[in-house]
Amino acid sequence: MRKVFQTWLLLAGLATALAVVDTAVNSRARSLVLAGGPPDEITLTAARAHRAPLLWVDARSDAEFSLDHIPEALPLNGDRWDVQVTEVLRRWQPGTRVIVYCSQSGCGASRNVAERLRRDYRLPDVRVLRGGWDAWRKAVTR
Amino acid sequence: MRRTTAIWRKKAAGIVLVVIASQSPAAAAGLRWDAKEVTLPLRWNADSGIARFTFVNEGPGQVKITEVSPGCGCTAALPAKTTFAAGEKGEVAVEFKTGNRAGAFRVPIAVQTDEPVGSTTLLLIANIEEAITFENRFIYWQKTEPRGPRRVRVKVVEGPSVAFGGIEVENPAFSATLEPHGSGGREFDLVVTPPDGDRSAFSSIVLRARLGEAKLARAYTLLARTL
Repeated sequence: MRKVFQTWLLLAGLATALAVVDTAVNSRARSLVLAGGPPDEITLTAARAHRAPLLWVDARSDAEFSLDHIPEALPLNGDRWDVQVTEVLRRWQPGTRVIVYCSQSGCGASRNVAERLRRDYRLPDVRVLRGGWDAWRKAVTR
Repeated sequence: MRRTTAIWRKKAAGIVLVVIASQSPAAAAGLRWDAKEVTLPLRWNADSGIARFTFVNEGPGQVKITEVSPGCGCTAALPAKTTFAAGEKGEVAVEFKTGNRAGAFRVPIAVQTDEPVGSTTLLLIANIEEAITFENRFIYWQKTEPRGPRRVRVKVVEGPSVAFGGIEVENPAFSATLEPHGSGGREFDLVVTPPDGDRSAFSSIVLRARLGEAKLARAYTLLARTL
């Protein structure tokens, strides 16, 4: 009986220790992801606090854009790039911060568009909205 | 006493193994992906390419892939087998269509399975070679800058033959010409001249070219603006 109790106690102790280590490691990893992220990412709060002019660029499909989008945003996706980038560059002014968004975090399209604007068109201040359209929608429906 | 200690050691090792095994991701998910990120290099003349994400079902039972959702219209999941027995190897194949794209493109692909933790996001990175590269595709003159001509270096990658077919300037107030740079025949300068005066103006400039033996027609758009 005593041996069974000792075994149970050892098992419980080990499980607790592993759970503590696992939680510590995972929470650190989560906090690194949340705090870090790619350097060109910007939160909605930071975007709204920015004082210089903003130009919102919607990297989702034309169909998604026509359903709804951030006010005054311009569409820009790979399917009609040449036509759409012309409108973006007509609107852009020196000192303007361009913020690109797609559907949600990790959707990829916003990063592709942002990289292309920096690399091919040499726009100096291009950011990607963290959380994308989902983050915007949640903020405005809150 | 020694025997008791040895039994305790064995018990402790067994418990540790059980607890560690229950914490590992393999216990939670059946499909183990060889790589969740696949880079797909594509030549300048490729219309499309196929990326293959391979996996093995390491779980105890059968796993069914219920949905594959590529994150952009430029990709399509290819129809394939969806049910995999324990220990079986498989793949998710995704076709990427190059369209009017060049450079690196990241496409996330959501894969849904009937496992308890049933969602995985894969990443396809398509690296599309650019047959012709431009130093810059947007030339602008600030209000305070002199409105003189600007030169944009144009480079043709090694390999394909190139024949430039003309330059179309949307706004006749601008002009553009193409001049060879060096003697290699693969570098050029596109010289763009803005209108005189201090009015703001905008123009697209389309450079047409035919590439390779197949004389593939390509159009490259640059934008010029006076602020």
